[in-house]
Parts: sequence; C-alpha cells; structure tokens
Amino acid sequence: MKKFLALGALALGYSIAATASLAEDWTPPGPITMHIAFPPGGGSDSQGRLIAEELETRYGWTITPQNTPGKAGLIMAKEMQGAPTDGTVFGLGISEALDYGMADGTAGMTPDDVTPIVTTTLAEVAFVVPASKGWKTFDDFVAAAMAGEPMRVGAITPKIADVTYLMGKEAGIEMNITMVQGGRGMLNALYAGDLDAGFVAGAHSRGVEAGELVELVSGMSRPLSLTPDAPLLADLGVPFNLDIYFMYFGPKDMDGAAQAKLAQSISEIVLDDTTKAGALLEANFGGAEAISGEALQAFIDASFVSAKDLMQAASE
Amino acid sequence: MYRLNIYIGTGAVLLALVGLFLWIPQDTGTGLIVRVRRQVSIGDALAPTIAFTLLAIGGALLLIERRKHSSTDVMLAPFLHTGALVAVIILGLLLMRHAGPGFLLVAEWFGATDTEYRLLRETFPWKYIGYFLGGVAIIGGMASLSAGRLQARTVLIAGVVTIGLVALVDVPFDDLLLPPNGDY
Amino acid sequence: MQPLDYIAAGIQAVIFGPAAFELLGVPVPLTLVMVFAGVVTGILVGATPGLAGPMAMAISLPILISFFGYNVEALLPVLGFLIGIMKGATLGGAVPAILFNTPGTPDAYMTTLDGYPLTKKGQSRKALKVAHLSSVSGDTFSDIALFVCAPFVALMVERHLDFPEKTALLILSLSFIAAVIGGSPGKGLISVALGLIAVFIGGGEDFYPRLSLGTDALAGGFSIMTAILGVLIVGAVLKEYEDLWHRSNLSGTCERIVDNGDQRLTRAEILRIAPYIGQSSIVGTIIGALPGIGTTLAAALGYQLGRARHERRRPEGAPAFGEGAIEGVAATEAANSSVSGSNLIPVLGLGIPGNAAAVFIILATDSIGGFTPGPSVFRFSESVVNTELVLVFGLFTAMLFANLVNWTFGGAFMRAATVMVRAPKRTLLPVVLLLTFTAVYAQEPSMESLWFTLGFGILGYLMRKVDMSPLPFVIAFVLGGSLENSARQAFSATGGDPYFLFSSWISIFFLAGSVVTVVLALRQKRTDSTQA
Repeated sequence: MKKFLALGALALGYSIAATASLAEDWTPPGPITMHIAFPPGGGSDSQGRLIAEELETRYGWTITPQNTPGKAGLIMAKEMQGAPTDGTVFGLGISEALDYGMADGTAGMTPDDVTPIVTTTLAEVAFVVPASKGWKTFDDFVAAAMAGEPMRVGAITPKIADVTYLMGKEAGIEMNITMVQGGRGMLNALYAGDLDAGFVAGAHSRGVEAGELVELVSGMSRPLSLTPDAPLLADLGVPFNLDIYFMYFGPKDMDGAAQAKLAQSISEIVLDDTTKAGALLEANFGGAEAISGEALQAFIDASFVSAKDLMQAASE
Repeated sequence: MYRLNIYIGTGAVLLALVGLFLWIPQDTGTGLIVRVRRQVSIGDALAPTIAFTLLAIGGALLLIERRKHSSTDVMLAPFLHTGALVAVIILGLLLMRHAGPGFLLVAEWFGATDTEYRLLRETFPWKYIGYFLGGVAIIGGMASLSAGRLQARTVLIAGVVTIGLVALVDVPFDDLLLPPNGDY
Repeated sequence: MQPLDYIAAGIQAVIFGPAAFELLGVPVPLTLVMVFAGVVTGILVGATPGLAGPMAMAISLPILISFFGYNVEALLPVLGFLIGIMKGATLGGAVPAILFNTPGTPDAYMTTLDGYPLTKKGQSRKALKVAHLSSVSGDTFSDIALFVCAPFVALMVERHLDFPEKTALLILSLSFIAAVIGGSPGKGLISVALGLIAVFIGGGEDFYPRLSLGTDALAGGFSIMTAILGVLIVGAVLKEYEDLWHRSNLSGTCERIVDNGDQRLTRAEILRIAPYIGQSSIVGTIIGALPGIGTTLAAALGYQLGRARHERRRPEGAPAFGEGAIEGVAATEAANSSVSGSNLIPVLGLGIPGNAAAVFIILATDSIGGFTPGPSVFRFSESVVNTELVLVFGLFTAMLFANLVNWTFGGAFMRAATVMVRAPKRTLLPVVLLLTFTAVYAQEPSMESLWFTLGFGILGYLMRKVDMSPLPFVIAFVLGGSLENSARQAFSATGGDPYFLFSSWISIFFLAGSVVTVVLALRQKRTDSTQA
C-alpha cells in the first residue's frame, strides 16, 4: 500500500512536472480575446480587465477583453462553442453557468463542452437584511416572518432563488421571491425598503462594515469572514450550498499546454495581492482562491450533479 | 398622408397579430405566467404580449384618426435613391469584413507562409486593410452617388478621411478594435 | 457625512480629482479639461447644419469609455464631456440660424425668424451677442432649478413609491411620451411598441432567450448602442442624405456678411431683453422637466409668449417680432437653452430620460457602472459615504463650470464656429456614418452589431419618412427593461397579486394619468383635423 502511494505520488509529481514544462513552452500564437461574462463596469468586470492587463505586462501577450454578458454566463459559454482551441480564446465567468445553467438541458450544453482553466475566488455569498429591521439572527427573521406578512426576498440568479426557496421551506415560513438585477439592484432595493432580505455575493461587504446591513446566513460551505457566527445552509437543514466561483474557462478540447500555462499564470497573479487584480479580490471577496486541474474538474462535476438535485428539490 | 396612415396602421396591426399568435407562442420559454417554487411569477411571454398589443392599439388608432387629406404623395424615387445608398453601405461593410482575409488568401497563392487572418489581426498592414477599403467605399460611394458622378477627388478625400479616422481611433486607444478584427 | 459635506466632497472630486496636465506647476483637473473640450465640440457641432448635439454625444461616448476605462473615476470626465457637448450645442445652433438663415439644430429654427433679419440689417454680431447672453442665462437658470428640485423629487419618490408605483410611473412616462411626441398618438404608440418589442428580444428570465428564433445572433438581444445609434444617427444620416438629393445642391452658399453700425449691446438693451429671457427661462425649465417634450416646443412657446408681450409694450418704430427684434432672439434662445438643465431632473430623480441628450447621460452611467441614476442616488447616509451622491454634486460642479465656460469663452467660440457652416454635407454625413460604425464596433466588437445598427438605421429612416418620431422608440428601448423588471418584482413581492398596479392610490393615479394623456392627445388631434 505504501509503495502504491509512493508510486502515486511519484506519478503525480511527474505529471505536475510534465504540465509545468509543457506550460513553460506555451506562448499564444496570436492576439488573445478574453471574454468577460459580466456587463461593463462593476467589480466582476474590473477583475477580468485587471487580470488581462497584468498578463499583458508580465508576458507581453496582446489581450483584448470583451464583455459577453447574459443569462448568468451561459451566453459566453455558447460563444466558446466552435471557438479556436489554441488558447487565444477564453473567458471569465461564474461556475453557476456550468452547473445550474446547464443542468436542465435547455442550454444544449454540459460542462464537458468547455475546458475549465482556473478559479479566481469564491464569492462571499450571504443572506443579508437591512440593519434597520432589527433582526440580528436568522431566528429573528423567521420569527418576524411567522408573526407578520410574508417576506419579500430578492435573488440575483435562479440557483440562488432555488436555494432561498428551500431555506424558507425548511424554516416553515412564506417568502415572496423576486428576481433582481445584480448585487447593485439588490442593495438598492434593500436600502429603499422594497425588499426585506436576499442573498448577495460580495457587494454587501461595505454595508455590513458600516452597520447598515446584517448577514444572517452563510451561503457558502464555509463561514462568512465578516460574520463567522452566522449559520451555514447545512445547519438550517438545506443540503445544498451556494459555492459560486469566479472562474476562467475555454472552449472544449483546448490545447493542454495553453490550459496549463493560463492556469499557472492567472493563479500567480490573483494570489499576489501586490497586483491590482489581487488587491481587488482581497478587498471585495476576502482574497483569491485559485483551483485548477483535476480539483477544479472534480468540483464542477460534483456541482453539476448537485445542481440537478437542487432543481428537482426546488420544483417539488 | 391619409393613405399612408392606412398602410402604416394596417401594417402595425398585421405585425401585431403575427407577433401575438405566431411568434410569441412559438418562441418563448415560459408563458404569460409561470409557477416556479410554488409561487406564481410573470413569465417571459407577458412583456412582449403587452408590447405587441400596444402595437395593435397604435395601429388601430392610426386607422380611426381623422386626418386631413393632404396631397403630399410619397414618391418612389427618393426611396430608390436611399435604397442605393443602403446598398453602398452594405457593400462597404462586406468589404470591411472580408477584404483582409481575402488579401491573405491571395498572398498565400503567391507563396506567402500559410497562416490565419486571426493570428495577424493585430499586425500592420493586415489590421487596417478591411477598415480602410470598407471606409473608402462607404464615404466615396455615398458622396459619389449623391453627387451623381464619380470623381478621383472624392475617392482621395475618402481615403484621407479614413486614414484620419484610423489615426483618431486606433492609434491612441490600445484596447479598441477596428472592424473586423474583433470578430476573431 | 452631512449634506454640506457631500456638496464639498463633490466639488473636491472635480477640482482635486485626477489631473490632465500641469500648467506652471499647478495641476489642471481632468474633469474641467473635458468639460471645456465638450463645450467647444458642442458649439462646433451645433453650428454645423445636419449635425446635432446628441449625435456627437453618441459617437464620443464609446470612444471616451474605451479611453477612460470602466471605473468610477471615469464617470466625471466622461459625463463632463457629454454635458459640455449638450450645453455647447444649443449655443452653437444659433450661429447658422442667425448668419445664414439655416438652423444648425431643429430648435434653433425660431432663432432664424429674427436673427437673420438682424444680419441683413448689418447687425449680425449684435444678434450673436444677444443669443449668447440669453442662451447662457437660460441655461444657468435651468441648472439652478435642477440642483434644487432633483433631490426633493428623488426623496419623494423614495419615500412614497414601492415596486407597484414605480411600475405605474414608468407606464405613465411612456404613454406621455407616446401621446406628446409621436406626430400623433397612434404613431407615438407604434413607436413605443416597436421600442419595447426590440428590447424584449433575447431577454427574459428563462434559460431560453425569448423571441430569438433559435439563433445565437439574437440570443443576446440587441444592445442599446446598436439600437439607439442606429435609429438616431444612421436613420438621421439616411434621411438627411435623401433631403440633400432633393435640394440638388445647397452647400456652399457663400453670402458675404457685412456688419455696420454699433455692434455693442448697451445696458438699456440688456434691460430691455431681460424680461424676455426671464419669461422664456421659466417656460423652458418647466418644459424640460417633463419627459418627452423637447427643446423645439420650448423654443416655440417661448417665442409665442415673447411676441405677445412685445406686442403690448412695443414702442413706436421698434421692429416687431419677425422683423429683426433682439427680443425675439432672446426669447427663443433663452427658452431652448433652459431645457438642458431641468431635463436632468427626471433622469437623476427617477432614472427616466426625457430627451435624446438625457438618453446618452443614462447610457454613459449604465456603461461605466458605479452610478445608477434614480432615487437611491440621493441617500444622504451619514455613517458611510454614498459615493453616488458625491458624484451627483461633482456633476453639478461640472455643469456650473460648463456654464462658466459658456459665459466667458462662448461668445468667441460662436464667432469662430462660423466656419463650420460651410462644411460640405455630402462628405460630412458618410464620415459621421463611418464614425458611428467605428464607435459601435469599439463598444461591441462584432460585425453583427454593425449589421444591426444598419438595420435600426433603416427603421429610423422609415420612421422619419412617415413623420413618426423615433424618440418614443428610443426611450421605450431604454426603459423597457426596467419596466418589465419592476413589474415582475412588484408581482412577486406582492405574492402574485394580479391587481398589483391597483394596490395603492398613487399607482391608480399614475395609471389614470396615462390613460387621460392618450385620450386628450387623441381628442386634440381630432379637433385639429376637423378645424383644418
């Protein structure tokens, strides 16, 4: 057994060395188009543009960032179909496009139709309420919902809406779930009193620090960084989570050397908080998280399966 | 104008009927309302249904609006002239799109190294070929068509202006792409 | 932060913001440089017949964004430039109207009535001075109205309007626009409906992009740039070109302008025109604050009221309106210029654009991000800095600076812009077209977007051809998304109440208002045509 492990380690070490040397060799054969699955402006778009800028200065490549927003990243994933596989076309989106976005089949794609490259960070997803409501914990929220009117709750993506629904179902309360446009739209609606609560993915951090918003639940599989005591979804009996990664992916059958080189160079940039991109991730998301290779593939395969279960559970 | 209003009104109503009874039912993912997560929500078909209904109402209003009978006829000739202008623009855009890759094909026939336009799209002179030829065709073509004669001077001005636009837009801005280079 | 701190922070954001360059060791703020450049561009564009302020705003926007990037720091310089164009263009529009009897912008038509007779009398420079003084006074008055009213409108909206009422308000704005400026209510409604249909293609909440005919090209929908630049600019270019063909050859009218006599504007004359300026400024400001009614109506109304006043008080022997009265120039120019400030009241207070210039202000903030015009902007929060509010005061500062530029250098630039009148349209228009394509491509690098732009251009041409205003189309396209979203949100948040629009008196009032405007406009039309 020990020998087998050692062999495995040796093999693993070898394969890392092999991809590393493969990566060293790769340079793009021409100018690169980097799609960004978000509308221009805002933190997610800046993230992509800053990474592109840093790649250009570090390696002297020519990169043109291009916004390809829509349908939580699915429009960009479709753009990848039939794109050149030599590493000159790839894009930054969210993992939800690959799991939930493709799970019900209407997209006509599966995660196998793209090549995952590397994640940049895990979105800090929290269930947030305005501080003016006076709710300090999720229990307060549930108590208020039981006592009065059904709660008006926002959701920025369909996956989040499903999880919100299951959370309410588990707590035995009624919620009117409303789709809102992005983190900004959610915050505006919360501040204006049009909504009572909702899951937000990072845009709320400043409001929490200023004491205007309160985080009640962590949507991630780990505790929140600003409110570590808030319960996880699993603690509330919801067997799903909202681990949404910002991640790069390319077209199907992308050149392995390109994939390795991009994964390596992008993770170096995002993990280095002296770069503008790294600093932005530190400020907005509490730091970068670069997962690539088999670990990333495994995450995507698992969350694709889980997304199908989520859809099933939420439609019952 | 009176006749024209009848044409527009009828057209709007017909288009609205097509939209309401063919296009929307065939081409939307969810109906007027949908039930998701045990909750009734507005479906994707509702908003376009309202828009097409407004179109129908607008068309109907136009049909019943009493308008003074004026003698302004809609003449065919200006339409043809504008049609020709649009044709020139279409030609210019096609040239813009295909001239660069076309030249590359020709160059390869004559023994240039086998490559792809995609990889050359940021190098001189490839990145300007399509824009330059398309731009000259649009400016020169429209001006000549309008003046009723083709003059060398017009083409020259078109060339100079297009080079001016390249200098204005491409040279100072690094991330800005000229057509058709963003399509690759 | 207290309200006063916000104002101070806004001014600082402009003055101590990024510097463009250093002059004798003193850094020159970038925003001010951009405002200055915008005003100069605006005057030149306004003075060129066939070009209009919104065109220049549309073309420069994508190029500016590519230059300054998508970040909050870009907002003030970009908006400063756009506002400079907006303010400069109304001033420049008077130049060809006075000197050559051809209005540079449609709203300057009334200026020709008295401006050109003045030129023929050898008083062109005096006429330009009157136009300058009235235009800038009206503009400044309107800005002050904006600064005072916008926060109150916003606070009222924020306090009393929930999702259902916001939906009803959008419906009211759209029907008002359809009723007032479509040529006729029927055409207005068709224009609005087409705008809504265009914006709903490819959108929706389902994974299947609706109305996309199964194509990838339509799946992402039409972008706002292709639709608006297509309808507004390409459509206008095609129509202008056709008119040019009609009038065989008009460019190159090189009349010599000879001035004689005293061209100075005396104190007595200024006092004489002051009441006209005041009256027109109020009219223009009120009209500007209503969505959809443009500068042209303001100019016409200001001129009519001015004439009525002039008839009553005209001393013996003084020229009547239409014969070269300086009061006539003053009344028109003050009215059409005082629209530009107050038309930002609905933009900043409600997020609803009232005219083409305002559309591009919204488009700029939309594209750059970090600033969403609408009531939430005016949150005077004390614990955290509301950066959007700081930006608003920065914007106000930029507007005041634009006025200052207009006051000080405007007159000189107007005289210099005279050369633009002779620009050959035949070459100029295709250049504008190519520039538009280039600008669209800069924002959205794919040939598809150029084809869409051309398609919308043909639509815009046809609409102009049949006397249907393209503005309702554009505003419906801009507002369609928020209309659908707020309706969905109102419906869901009320727990699926199908009568959510009738859930409060405010929204019932708005809905009733929208029905009434359309009915009134229809009846107006009928009486008009029976009288004719």
